[in-house]
Amino acid sequence: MKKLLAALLALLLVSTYPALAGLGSHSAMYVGGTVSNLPDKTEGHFSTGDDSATFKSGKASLTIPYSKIDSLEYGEKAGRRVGLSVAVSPLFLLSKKRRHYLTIGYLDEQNKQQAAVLELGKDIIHPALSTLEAKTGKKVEYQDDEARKVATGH
Amino acid sequence: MKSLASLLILLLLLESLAWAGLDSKKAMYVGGTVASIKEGTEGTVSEKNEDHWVFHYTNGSFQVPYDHVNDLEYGQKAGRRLGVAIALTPMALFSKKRKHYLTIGYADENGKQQAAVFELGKDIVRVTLASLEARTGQKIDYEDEEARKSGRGN
Repeated sequence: MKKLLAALLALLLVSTYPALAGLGSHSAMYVGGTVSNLPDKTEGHFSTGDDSATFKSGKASLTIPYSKIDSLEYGEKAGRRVGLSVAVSPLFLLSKKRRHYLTIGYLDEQNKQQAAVLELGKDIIHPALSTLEAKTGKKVEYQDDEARKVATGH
Repeated sequence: MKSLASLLILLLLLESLAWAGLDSKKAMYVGGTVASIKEGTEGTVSEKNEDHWVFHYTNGSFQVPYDHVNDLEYGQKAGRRLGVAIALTPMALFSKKRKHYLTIGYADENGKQQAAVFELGKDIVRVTLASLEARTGQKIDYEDEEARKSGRGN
């Protein structure tokens, strides 16, 4: 009975930390914005082509021509790995988990201003930002110097 | 085994207390000139409608046409987790709890200036601000550099 109780509590505890699962390092998530055909928190993949950037999930996709993009912002959220520290080792409190957010401002086909906030996996941030800057001719606006350092490495 | 179960219970309690307050995906009407909503009313916000910003609450909804919005301000209040620190662990003093406030200034149907202050859950700050900027064409006025960083970094 005690074992069962402990196991149940451990399960409950782990289930309270969805952050344990996290976004894949090569994946992306549409966090939210003004895009009506994409539900918030949709996971998928972000790619950059010759003429446009695309976020694609199983159900829907968002394609933004580079020529329509008028702003790029990058920010991050750093937090302690509380879930892992509880479930695995307190040493995880010493490391930080970062989430990376890219906000794309653009004009839609009716020339109405739109905004899409994407969370990007850590392995695609640098190439995504570099490509977007090169293709759009817009400079990424960084939340602060730390965000710039994390995203660009300098 | 008993101590393990006790520890897990304590950790679960700690976590739930730490998250007490406004749900991270919700919003609350804090106050302002809107007579139809009681101060402290909780609900959800949406920018999906192309014409109106909407605050949904249990007994109805509050809508502001985007083209009537003439001012957007964002500020925050940061405080230590004193209650949790006293009740459970002094470690809680090392983390800060932030409250996020959005003030919307707009002209009502009679052309009179109105203002509504909302507290935003931490998970909707970035998306709400980005969407409002896109929909209204107004730039967010950040209270200070810390607020700007927090608002963009979520």
